[in-house]
Amino acid sequence: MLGGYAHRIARINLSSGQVEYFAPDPKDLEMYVGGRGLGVKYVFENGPKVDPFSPDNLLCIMNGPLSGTRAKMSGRLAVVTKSPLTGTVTDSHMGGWTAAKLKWAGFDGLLIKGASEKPVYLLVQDGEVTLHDASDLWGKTTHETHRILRERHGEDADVMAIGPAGENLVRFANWINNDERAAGRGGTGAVAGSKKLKAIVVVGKQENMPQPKDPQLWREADRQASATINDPKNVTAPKKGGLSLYGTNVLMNITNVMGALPTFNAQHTCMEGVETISGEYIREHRLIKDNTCHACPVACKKMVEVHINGKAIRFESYEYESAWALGAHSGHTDTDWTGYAIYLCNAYGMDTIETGNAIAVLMEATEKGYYQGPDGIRFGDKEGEARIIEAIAYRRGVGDSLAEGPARFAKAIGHPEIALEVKGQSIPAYDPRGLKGMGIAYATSNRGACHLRAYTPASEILGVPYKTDPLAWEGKGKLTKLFQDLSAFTDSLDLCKFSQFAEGPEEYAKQLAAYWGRPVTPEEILLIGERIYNLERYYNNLAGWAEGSDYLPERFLKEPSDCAGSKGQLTELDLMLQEYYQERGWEKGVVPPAKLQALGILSAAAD
Amino acid sequence: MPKVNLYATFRDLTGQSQVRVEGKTVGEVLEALVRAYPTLKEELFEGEELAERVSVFLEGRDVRYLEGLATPLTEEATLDLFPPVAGGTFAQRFGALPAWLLERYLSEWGGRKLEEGVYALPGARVRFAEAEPLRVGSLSLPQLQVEVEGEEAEAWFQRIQLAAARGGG
Repeated sequence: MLGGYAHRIARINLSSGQVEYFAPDPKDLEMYVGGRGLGVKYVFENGPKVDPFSPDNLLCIMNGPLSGTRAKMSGRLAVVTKSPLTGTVTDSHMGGWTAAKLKWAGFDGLLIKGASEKPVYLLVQDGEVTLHDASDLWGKTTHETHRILRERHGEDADVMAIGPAGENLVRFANWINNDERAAGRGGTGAVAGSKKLKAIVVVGKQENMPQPKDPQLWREADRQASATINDPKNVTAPKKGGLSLYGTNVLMNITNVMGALPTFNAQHTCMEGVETISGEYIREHRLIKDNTCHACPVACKKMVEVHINGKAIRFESYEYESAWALGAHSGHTDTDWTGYAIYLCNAYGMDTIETGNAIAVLMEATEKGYYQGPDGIRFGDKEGEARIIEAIAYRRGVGDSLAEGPARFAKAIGHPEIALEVKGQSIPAYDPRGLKGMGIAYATSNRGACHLRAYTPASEILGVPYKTDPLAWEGKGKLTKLFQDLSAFTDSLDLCKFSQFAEGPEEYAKQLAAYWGRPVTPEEILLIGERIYNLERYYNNLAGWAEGSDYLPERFLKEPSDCAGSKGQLTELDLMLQEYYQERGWEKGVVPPAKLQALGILSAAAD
Repeated sequence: MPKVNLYATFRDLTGQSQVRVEGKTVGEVLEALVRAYPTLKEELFEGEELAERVSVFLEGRDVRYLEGLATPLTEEATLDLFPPVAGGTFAQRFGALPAWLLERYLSEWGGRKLEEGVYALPGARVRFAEAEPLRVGSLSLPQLQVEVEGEEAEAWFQRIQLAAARGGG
């Protein structure tokens, strides 16, 4: 029996209230590991044609074989489902302690189907899942829900909750846990809302931590992984490396200089004054505390305090993507109002990236006269931004239309070109005219525009694993495939993406081998990642995202970048796609049957 | 005066790993380099142009993607000059790969330490040295220059590339 698992998954039917338990098939564990991979396998088996808001859609809450162990940076939890934003399979991950506690409570995952008539929450404890009435919680913010449920179940209880946005089926509603970590993208919180599932409370005891099958190998593997994460020269180095000191927002000033920061809905690629929403500025002026997640020495989480109308508001974190979306992308660099907008999104339970894009699209539509309704706001209107965030969460006025997602909103007003989306999901904080690799990574991401499927800035900005020119398209298809496969694997362990700034296939293989109790090679790791990426793509092909689905917004192909390091640049998507498909062995974005068979997907899917 | 770091066979041709030469552009610096080390001429230039196979990096960016030989240089500029990756020599600069970690990999694969920064593997020799870290904004990223020579160089180089694979998010 493979080590690292609880060997127990709960299948919860919210329509009937029934809960069943099963041990995951060992073959599935070897092929898909856990977390994202195993979740995608279950979502695939549930069928690609399901309506995301139907009770038949499957919502998977998954951890991985290293979750709840002492493996460094192993605090990630995967939420996997069919996305109501994109219609693709999606997975979104949150940090904190939820993943670890789920393992300690006796589970590798929760598979949730059906829909309750009344609001409910799940209590996961001692190998059992029970349903509880959540009528008193319905309508409450995520923060209020955490507080009430922790008062009820104890401070050791970990709570992940949806907010009003999830209840109101905002298509980009998310999950927030009591460490204010978000499973942010793809609208997984709205799927929970459609099932009347308000929260999941996890009570787990650390004494249930799984032990490695090969303790000697584990000691060696852990020492090696820890040493490279703690190496004072790496960006992960505690209290020394850039990630530890400034968090993700260390990037703001860098991308701005490179002309890779989309601003004013990507009408520009840089902006005066972004220093005041940068990681360096926040550390100096707004930081309260460096917090961390389970088993993580890096501590990239930043608790900050902002002031709005004389009121102090504390939250975590002032992340790069959030600060960009609700600041520069929306045409302002106000430290406090940007922070307040992030706080509001967390409280209502909405993806900050998608919300920022919705606001930026409304702003451009208003300024160009495409939207002439009463709720129009212009770039830089930070108070208007806060108003629209609330309107989206409660589906009031133009917020009702924006809650369908910026892509649907832009289409509805007759100007789809102003939505910066791929497969219905909006772009994050990197302009592909200044970072060409992001162009191919966005276009070919299986969950819509995303920086976390293949983080090409690692190479294009940070020289990891090797430096490439951000303005050159050559080689970016190959790089994207490598990153996609590696991340599909680490998302299945489920380790933090930042571990990849210090660890590689050697370290992952050794740690997994020590837990599994059988040899694992670096080659196997990339093969597993490739299998997961192809299964996701196969799902999407069957769900209707077939040939021609790997596109980019016209703006990046036709409107040259206008400032900073990328001035005059466009994104050479067609050339990169050609290289990428060749690397993948795909035919115009479609996985051929031979590839599915070679990776063991077709036979596995038929089982 | 600009600095030029030389790698692999360029070191054998010049007997130097780093030199300082006058010049206000990449072209001027390379011409000055050729005046000092005439054997480099055939390696660096094809007629008046930079030889196709040579890689010249300015602060981590290939000058081909800047202004080529006309790329202006400051007095403090550093150029990295790599010979073609062919003829049994493979070279790459890896980020986030500390030297001690590469040494651990090499030892696990049966490598034998010959001297500081040099290992023998079956059919290949690996040299590595820390290069200037890549500095970007408030970040500093370590860089390790790795070169593999010998009959089995390509296979071992690919093995190192796999081990050195990193990413981020």
